[in-house]
Amino acid sequence: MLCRFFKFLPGYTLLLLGFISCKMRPDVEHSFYYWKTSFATDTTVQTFIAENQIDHFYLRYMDVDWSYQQCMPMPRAEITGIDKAAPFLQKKFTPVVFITNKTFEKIDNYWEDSLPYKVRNRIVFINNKIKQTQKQAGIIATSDDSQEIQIDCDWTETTRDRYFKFLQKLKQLLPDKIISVTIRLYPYKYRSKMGVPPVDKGMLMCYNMSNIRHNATTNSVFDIKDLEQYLTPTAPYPLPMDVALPVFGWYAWFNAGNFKGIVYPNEHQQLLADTNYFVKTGNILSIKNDVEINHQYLRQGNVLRLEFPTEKALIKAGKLLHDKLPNIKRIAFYHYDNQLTNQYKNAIEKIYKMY
Amino acid sequence: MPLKKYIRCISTLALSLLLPWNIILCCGPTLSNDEERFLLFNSAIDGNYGIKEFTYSNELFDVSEAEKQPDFKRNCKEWKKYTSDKASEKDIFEIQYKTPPTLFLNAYKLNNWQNFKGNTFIQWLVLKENHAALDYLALAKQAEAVDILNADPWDTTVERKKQDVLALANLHNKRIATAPVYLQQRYAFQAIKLWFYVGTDDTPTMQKLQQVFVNYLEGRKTIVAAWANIYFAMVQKDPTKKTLYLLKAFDESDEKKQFAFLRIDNKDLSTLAAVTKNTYANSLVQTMFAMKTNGRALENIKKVAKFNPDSKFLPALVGREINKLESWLSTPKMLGFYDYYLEERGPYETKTQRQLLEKKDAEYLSQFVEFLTNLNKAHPRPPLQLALVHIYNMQQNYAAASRLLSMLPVYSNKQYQTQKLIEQVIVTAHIEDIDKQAVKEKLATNMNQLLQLNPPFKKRLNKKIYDRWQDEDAERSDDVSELLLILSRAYKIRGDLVTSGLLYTKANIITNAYDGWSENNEVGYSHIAWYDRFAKPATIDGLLVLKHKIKKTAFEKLLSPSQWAKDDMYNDLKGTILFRDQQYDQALEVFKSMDRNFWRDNYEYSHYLPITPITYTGLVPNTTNKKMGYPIASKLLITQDVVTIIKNITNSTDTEIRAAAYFNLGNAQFNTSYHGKAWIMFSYGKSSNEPISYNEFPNFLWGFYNFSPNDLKYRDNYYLCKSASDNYAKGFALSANKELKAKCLLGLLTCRRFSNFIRKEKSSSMKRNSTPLYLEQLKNYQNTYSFKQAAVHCPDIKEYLGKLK
Repeated sequence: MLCRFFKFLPGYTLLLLGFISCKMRPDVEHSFYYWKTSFATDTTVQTFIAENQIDHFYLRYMDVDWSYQQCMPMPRAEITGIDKAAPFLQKKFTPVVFITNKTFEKIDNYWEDSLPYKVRNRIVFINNKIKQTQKQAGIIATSDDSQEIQIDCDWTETTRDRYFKFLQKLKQLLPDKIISVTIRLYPYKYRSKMGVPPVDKGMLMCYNMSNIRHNATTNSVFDIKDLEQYLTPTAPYPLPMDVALPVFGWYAWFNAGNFKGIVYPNEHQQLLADTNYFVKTGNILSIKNDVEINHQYLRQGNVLRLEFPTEKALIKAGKLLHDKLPNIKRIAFYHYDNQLTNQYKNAIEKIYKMY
Repeated sequence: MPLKKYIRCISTLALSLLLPWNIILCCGPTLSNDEERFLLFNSAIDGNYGIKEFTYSNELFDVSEAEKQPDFKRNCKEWKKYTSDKASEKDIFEIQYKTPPTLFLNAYKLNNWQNFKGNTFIQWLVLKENHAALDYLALAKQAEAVDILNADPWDTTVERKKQDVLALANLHNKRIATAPVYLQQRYAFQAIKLWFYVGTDDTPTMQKLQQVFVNYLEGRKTIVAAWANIYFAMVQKDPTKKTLYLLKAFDESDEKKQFAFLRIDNKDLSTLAAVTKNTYANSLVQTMFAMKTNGRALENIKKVAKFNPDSKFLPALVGREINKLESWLSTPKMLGFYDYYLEERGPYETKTQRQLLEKKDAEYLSQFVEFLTNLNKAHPRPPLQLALVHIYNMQQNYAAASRLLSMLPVYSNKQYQTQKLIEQVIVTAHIEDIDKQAVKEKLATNMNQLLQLNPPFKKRLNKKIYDRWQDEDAERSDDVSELLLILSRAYKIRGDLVTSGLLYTKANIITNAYDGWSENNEVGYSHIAWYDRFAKPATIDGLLVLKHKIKKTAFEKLLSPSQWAKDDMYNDLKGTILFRDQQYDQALEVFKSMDRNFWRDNYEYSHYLPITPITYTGLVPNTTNKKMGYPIASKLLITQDVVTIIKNITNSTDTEIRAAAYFNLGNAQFNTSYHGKAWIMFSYGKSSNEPISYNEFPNFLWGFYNFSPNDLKYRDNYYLCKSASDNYAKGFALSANKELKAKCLLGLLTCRRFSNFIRKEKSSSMKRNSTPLYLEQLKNYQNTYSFKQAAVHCPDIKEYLGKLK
């Protein structure tokens, strides 16, 4: 009998280790990006958070863009309506600052040195505003302060060095914070050319993959084939990575095959469904009669190419990312909007469940 | 090299030549400064009025920084009048807008004005009888110092300043009671502004604000009253009243126009229109409706003219409407939207739809002509007359445009004169004989006058210093460039390709064609792009003659680029054109005349010209050609080999030698096709803008490169390998040697296979679904060394042929 036990011991041991490792495998946090410029009253968000076990939000604090008039980088579109932000603050959250690539193209030595300070101070300022607002509202925050700061910038080869210098300095100024950055698919794949940002971790943004202007593009927001092409490196990215998937879209507007702009469907769903003006064929809306949407004058004969990711594609992407990046700590969706989250409810649920 | 490895290799190489201009996508793509449009009418001909230049996109509604200077100047004029002209406008401006508050306030506190010696405004202010004004200015400077909106945008202490601001506002208000009328208005304005900045939640303060406005500012003819309209408007609960005062602010002030424009709602405008009988208000309502639409606004403009035919906004409204028509009619035509890819457009547009829309827009243009003609009869004004000339030109009614132009004077107003010259050039280009020297000189004179009047036009033409991506005013500075484009097309119709190409290249306008990137050196595709599309070899000869001409006429100087390319860049194109046309001997002569190292040192030739023999495709082992390769990248050496092969065909009497030569020629032509290793012998780039199946070849080398119209002209040989196929077929037919026959068949099959990746088109002379003749025949050669080697090196061949079994 003892012999039999020892014979099967390796198997038992393996089973036990497997069980232990399953139990000890860290949960992957469920996260969402909040990207609007203002918080607004939203009666559905609490339910959404509970149903999807959302652990964390990325909150866009502000943008930084270059001002040609003032010849300096300027903070823009700072988040407002903080008094309505409570649902998003009750879980963990990470402030995000979006900085345009143009900023890094234009800044001089003075701003190369000063910008990290300015951005740091502004983040602290907004953090304090949030704390004050919460205190006034009698809300006890579950986390005292955000532990992580994220910088979102589509850097290029030309701006790489300045951007990385900015990140290094910011890290020095916020030594107790985790600094993360967004990383698009292109720098993820071509890391030797684009460099690896000197930060603590990265968020792989799995959307906006191809050229919206191109007639042959099927969906510039999200195309699973494009994602597959970008996820080919076998060596892991030299930073701990999380991933973000899109739950947004738009219409790409073409006139005579030439890209004219983007039409955001948001408040215009009814008009877009009006067959006096639009005829749908697959993912193309053809314009029957001249019509103005959101100050854009769509002419008869123009087309709108629908560019929302499909549920099927998103779920496939979730599986693909699960295989290719097995060690993520957080899976996020971009971005929170109660209409969009409703539209993608199924996909969000399924993908969260994969992790 | 095996086929799959070759394709992989190409795919990898694709990464090395990326889009130099990536679309950056965070929350959406970064668009160019404005969509590319062909606009020759200046809608700001009577001034910008402080509103953003019209853009045919929702960029019009982006928040932008206001134009403050006109209002500042007006304020200074009022002060000058108040000082009974004792102070100069310049000195007033210096104190008002260039003097930091701390400097002024220190001087005021210490009564020490040393730093302002010589300033006439200060000299006036310090006089005893003017102390009231000095006290006002000191308080205003304090307001400036704590002005929240003018604070450092990075300042995080804004909140704490609000109490200071409130205190200051109340102090301004207090002083109104004892101030002279002129200063009462200014104190009132400062109080209103500061109360507004503090925040609109405080109801008592907002009530005070409204009262002070009504008592001291409403309807007053002063710039501060114009500004104050904004603050009064923004605290109104009644949207109709708010809209009315925003309209007043829009009308009376330049600085506040953009602010007002962005906050006026169409719904509220409609409500106001329904309730007001006031013609002034109605005129402004219709003005705003017209301004806010990117669609047709003629009905609104007619109403503006009806309510107020002398409205200062009419020229701008008319101008913007013309710009829309230029976007709809001129832009597609002049920028070549429909020149290429007609059959590729798929769901993106049909010709019928386009024609319907053009007809509609042409009808709208006629309605506009009728309106402008009547308006000019009753209320003629230079901008409206020039608008009518322009519309005649758009209708191609050049005779009417010319008649009207002849009645207009030479304007001292720069904007008017510029527009007049533009119209003159358009008329000349269409009704006079532009081949005649006298007409050319007339064109040059007009263009040079335009350049003199407008330095930005000149800068735009100089590729060495102009960077379109940095030019926020790109749409306004390109008028001469657009005229050059018009002239280019006119000369092309006449067959003068040298002139046409130079004009096009000098214009440097982005059209629906690939013109390379604006290289400011001696070598770059942009120098030859147009010629690549349209030139004959003789055109290049003419071009070089002009380049080296010492005494150029004014017109020739106008044509000449800011930087010519190297002669060899043009010669390379000449040789390439001859090569494409299979004039190999002549191509060789051209390449011989060039610097032997040209292809090693310039453009991308050295990356893509092979150093392995041109007759070696990698499909079958190269047992016949013992040559090791080329010592350097060279079109000359490759062409030399091709010429030698052809001589073998022509001169040899031995059928096997000739058959082998046909096979080699087939290889050379395959290699210089799109699918071959030496495609750069034929074309200057490779991209997805070619008639190749995107799904099969998703990775391309050049962003946006386009081979049109050569893709149609050379489609059979370059994409479908017709010439190569024909030579393989000749080799196969001539030879009795099994190995050679096998090689020829493999060549034929490779051509067939690659031509299947070409998108369906109507006019190919090659049948895509070829007969199985060659496939069946290849079975007879399964035991040849060539076939066995091909199957080893190319798994695709093996698999492909395996299906035959």
